[in-house]
Amino acid sequence: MVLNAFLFVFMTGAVCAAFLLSGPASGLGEFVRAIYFHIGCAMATVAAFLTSCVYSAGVLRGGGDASDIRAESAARLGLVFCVLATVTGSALAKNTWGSYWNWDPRETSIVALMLIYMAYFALRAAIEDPDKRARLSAVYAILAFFTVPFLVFIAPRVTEGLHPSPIIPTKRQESGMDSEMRLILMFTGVAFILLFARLQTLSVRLQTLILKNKEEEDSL
Amino acid sequence: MNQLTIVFAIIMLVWIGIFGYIVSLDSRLRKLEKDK
Repeated sequence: MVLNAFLFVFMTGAVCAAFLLSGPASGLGEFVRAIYFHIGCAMATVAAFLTSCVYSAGVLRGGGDASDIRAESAARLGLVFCVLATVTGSALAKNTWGSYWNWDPRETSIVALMLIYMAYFALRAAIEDPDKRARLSAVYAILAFFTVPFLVFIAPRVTEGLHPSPIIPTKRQESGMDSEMRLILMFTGVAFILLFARLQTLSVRLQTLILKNKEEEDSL
Repeated sequence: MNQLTIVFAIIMLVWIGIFGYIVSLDSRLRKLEKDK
């Protein structure tokens, strides 16, 4: 209930801030508002993949089905947010650079990240034994997360690309964002991470119920 | 009504729809968990 209330306040506030407080930006015009949702989804993606990695470590330390369900749910939600970030980014690219896809380093790295996490689900689908599936996919999820900082934060910055430099700049002039825009961006990021947290708890509860139901059916 | 207001209204409606779904799923899950 508390998480629902927080989520409603933050997400409604984020939408209102993006449309009512933020003004048009040079180059993007009114379309700048899409950036808040694009980066919000990207932040939720990283949070989800980190959660998946943490619970996967829990599986290897004997966390059992509960940790496995949490790791899988987080990876699935991370993939959904990753696709949303790519779609919103693609719309922004069309508006800014004239084409939906430009093979910019950041666009290329997000495709690599999506493929890595799609392979996680392919791996899970390929193994029938639940214990073996949990352990192997946990190892894979931990290894997959090691690529996240490289693909999201490092690779796009070591080569020249179309994207503005860093998402969270160290020098103000590097991003061209004013403090108001950065504040709305952080607020939107928190709202999307809360949305991920809420969806994660719902997904875990649902998966746990399905597992219990299956166990009851098997015991009959 | 300008285009920006229409987009804002659509996004707000989509968000309220998602939130409504989250709340209803939450209450349905709570009911199922109680029954178990």
